[in-house]
Amino acid sequence: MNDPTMNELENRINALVDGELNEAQAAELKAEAEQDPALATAIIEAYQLRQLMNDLPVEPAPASLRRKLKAIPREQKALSRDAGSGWLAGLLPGGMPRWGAAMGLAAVPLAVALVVTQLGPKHPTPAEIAQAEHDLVVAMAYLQKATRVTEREIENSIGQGFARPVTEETARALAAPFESEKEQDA
Amino acid sequence: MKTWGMKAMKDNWMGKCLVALAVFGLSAPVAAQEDELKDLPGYVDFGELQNFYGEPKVMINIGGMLLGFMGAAAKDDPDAAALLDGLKGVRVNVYATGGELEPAMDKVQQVKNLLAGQAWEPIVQVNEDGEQVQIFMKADDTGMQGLTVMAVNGEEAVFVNILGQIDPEKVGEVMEKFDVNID
Repeated sequence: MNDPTMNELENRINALVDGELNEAQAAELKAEAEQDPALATAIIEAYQLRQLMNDLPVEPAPASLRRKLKAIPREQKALSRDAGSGWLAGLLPGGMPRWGAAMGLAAVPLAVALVVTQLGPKHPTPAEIAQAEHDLVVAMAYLQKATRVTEREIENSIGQGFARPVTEETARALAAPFESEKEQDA
Repeated sequence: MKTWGMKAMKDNWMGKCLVALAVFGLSAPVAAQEDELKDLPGYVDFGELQNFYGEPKVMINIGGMLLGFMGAAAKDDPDAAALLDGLKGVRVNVYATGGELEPAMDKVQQVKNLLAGQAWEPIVQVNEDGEQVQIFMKADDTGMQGLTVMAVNGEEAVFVNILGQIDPEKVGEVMEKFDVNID
């Protein structure tokens, strides 16, 4: 694959799959893929390869090796294109009817849109952060509610005078590792 | 209604890939938050109670990435920043029990057994008729790894899993600034 245009495209696909494109760059590639089924398929294949690599229970390969691995399907496709009757010949298993391919390709833009959405910039949106902040407050409220129940039960069991010391002791016990780490940091 | 189009698509490998991608695309955002936390030592698998109570009325999964962004945004609020510092994940599942306690109590017992085999220490346990609260903590020589709270009563079953470190005093200080009612 010595074609500079192909290399650039390969790099853009890899960057998309690795979440390295910004929003505008990802949207641009998505728009191109919607017009170019071969590009769309290449993105899907790169994404599938990334998923397979992520599922392997081994240390990640060096980035240079991953780029080479990701380039293999593209190189094979280029060979198939040269040898066959077009890019479709390299994609389809023997005997697949044209209408089957057409149906599959019709769904490519949708799949690409989904993939691009998933692999877009990793930064959460302000709305997602705001939702997470709200969720965190709700989570802490449930934590406090459980603490209040335990405090009430302790009051009922051993009297109000002991409830606070016991719950405060519990709080201190929970905080102890936190405090000791802060001291270590200091 | 003819369904040959969809069947034909499922029969070819490209169709399978596209269907799989579509399914992945729709389910990944929720699963991703949960998956991000599963490998942490403070993670607890609460299993599922949907079969008994239906969908949880509250389901929260906040991963480290979102907490990191929230921490950065909270740098002008020392109490919130201190609370977020060391937090790696927050998970909450709340089911409406509708007075049907047994499935939730059974689940609490199952999780207790699970925690006992994973070096979690019981901190507070309340066992009353119609109400149960269990609080567990996991820590190692590097500090607190997680906090687990299970609370069941006639109204709801609450399962909270805090991953990482949390300072209970900071929870109170931060919560004073919010007007939130979950009762």
